[in-house]
Amino acid sequence: MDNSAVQKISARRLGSLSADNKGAAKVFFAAVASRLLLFALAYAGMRLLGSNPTFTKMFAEAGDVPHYLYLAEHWYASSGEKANLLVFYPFFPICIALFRVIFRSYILSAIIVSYLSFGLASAYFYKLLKLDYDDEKTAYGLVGFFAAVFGVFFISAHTESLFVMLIAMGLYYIRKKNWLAAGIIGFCAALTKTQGVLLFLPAAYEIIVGAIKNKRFYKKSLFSLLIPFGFVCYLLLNLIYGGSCFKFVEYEAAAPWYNTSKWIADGIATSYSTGVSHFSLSMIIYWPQIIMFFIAVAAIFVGAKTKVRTSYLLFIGAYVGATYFHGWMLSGGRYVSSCLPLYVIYASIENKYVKNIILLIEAVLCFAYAVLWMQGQAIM
Amino acid sequence: MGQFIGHIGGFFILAAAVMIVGIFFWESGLVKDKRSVISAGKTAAFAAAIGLVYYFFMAYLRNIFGGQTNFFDFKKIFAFFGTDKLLGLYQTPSFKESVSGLNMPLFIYLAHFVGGAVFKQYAGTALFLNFLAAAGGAVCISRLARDFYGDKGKDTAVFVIFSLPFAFALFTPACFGIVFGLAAAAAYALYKKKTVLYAVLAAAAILTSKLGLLTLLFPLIAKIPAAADLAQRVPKFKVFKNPYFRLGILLFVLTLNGFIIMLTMGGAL
Repeated sequence: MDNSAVQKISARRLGSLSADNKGAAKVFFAAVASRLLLFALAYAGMRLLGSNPTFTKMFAEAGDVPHYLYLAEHWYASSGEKANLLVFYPFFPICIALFRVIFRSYILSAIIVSYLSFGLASAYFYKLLKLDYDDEKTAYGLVGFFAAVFGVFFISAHTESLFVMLIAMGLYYIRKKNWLAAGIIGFCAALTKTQGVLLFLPAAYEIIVGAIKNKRFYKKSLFSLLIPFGFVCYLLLNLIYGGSCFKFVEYEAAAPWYNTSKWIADGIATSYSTGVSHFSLSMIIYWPQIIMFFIAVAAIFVGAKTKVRTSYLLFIGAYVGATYFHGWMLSGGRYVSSCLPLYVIYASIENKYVKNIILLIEAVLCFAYAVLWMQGQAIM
Repeated sequence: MGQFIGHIGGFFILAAAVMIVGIFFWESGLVKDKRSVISAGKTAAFAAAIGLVYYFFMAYLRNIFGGQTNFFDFKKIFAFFGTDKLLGLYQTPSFKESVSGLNMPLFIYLAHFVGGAVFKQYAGTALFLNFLAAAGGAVCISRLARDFYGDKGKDTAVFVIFSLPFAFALFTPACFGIVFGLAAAAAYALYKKKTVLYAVLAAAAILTSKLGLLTLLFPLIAKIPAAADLAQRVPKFKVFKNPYFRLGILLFVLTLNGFIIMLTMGGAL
């Protein structure tokens, strides 16, 4: 190949790279705008229904938010009534504390972290989708993600946005075989949520399949071990503040969480029986989490048929399995909504009518749950 | 209803896990022939389906003979021929106890650790491990049958084995499914001349149950020239080609099997 041809190819690659980055930048702003739009619509809907909670009540007192804000301000405690906050992972509070240096308010910093993370999550998700799909499917994947059923948690001060950002970045760097970046991102993910450590599975899958196929093992792939090391650091945190590596398990099992590990079947059975006896809660907690479990599992089979990358399917399987490994769960719907590769499967579906119907249902539920969340209902 | 939905959910996620393992094998190139992975998956699913039929039949009979019982109360459903004692051992294993009778420690400790640490349910775990092993054994048997009799013979062989009297025991929390799976895998390894693998599987079978000692006979059987010859000749016997004869045998075996299950669940055996 002569020099001019090489130069042409390089220029085209650079052009495509920069086009991808430009596209990612646009997606970033579109994602942030989508959150603002959801907030505005849900707020209007809530006001039309006659509710008028304060900003503090909506954002700073909902669900686990006060706990994260407390951790950002005071960090973990070895004793006292706040010692049980050891069940929360440290990376989100650390980010809040860092942003607080600039914005001077914990709740504002938490919301800014959430919005920025969602923007970055979408940008990286766009780049991830572009590795395998054309523009149309990429757009569908993104819009599907924007309309996530429990997408309201991406506008509030919860870990969800940060977590999906780390998952999107982690999967992208795994695909790019940038093992150092994937390791560091995975390390942070493992310090953000229990499911974060599962990013190790797609990494391990890609490494093993690559090594068997190419009959060569790349030493740099050992950086992926940083991902489980993140979880080890969390265990060390438990040892330091709780006196035992698994202190968080003890705290989770006690009030107010009552969370013990139970086989998936038992967890779903408990959700069902509680749903039957609590009708109003069943509509916002129990039925959605049971239905979303089956949708997520069915999606794995759909993904296998539409040839979605197996490492993503592995992640979804492990994620859903780990999430529903609970005796008494209240946030299954929220967790499934944060399982990013599910939107890759959605993007991979060929039938546009099916896609549009799914999108419509998603959008309606996303709006409804956002309104209910703002009203202070038990959307957890 | 909740239990039913829960178990369906658990079953689907395990099926998804099995599918991903299958995809891994052909994607990595460890198994070149994609069709053989799909075929193995179908056989395993077929075996699991037979197991489920047995399971629900046993649960139904327990409701008739033992009073109203939840269809997923494994402990109560399988309270027969020593299974209840085994279930106790899974929860609190004892080495001394685990070498008495037909039991051996390997499966008891496996059920104890997997049941305690992973699934948080001993009886369910033991049942799941048996289903898994029985399905794995069925895949090995179908491979052997395919090599002997071609594609037509493979599922027939599995069906015949699972229709035999007492075959239902493979799908209980006792260790029979595991022993069957290990023995079938050992037989296939021996057939493929992988002696070390055969030795490991046979040792595991023996450490699971004293019935596993039967795997030591496999090399002897393989040495008998007439055994392979006979195996090749079986489908050629004219009488087997008569559909009425085959239907008659099938009905007889299934009736006998059902009768034995009824006697077992009723406490007579």
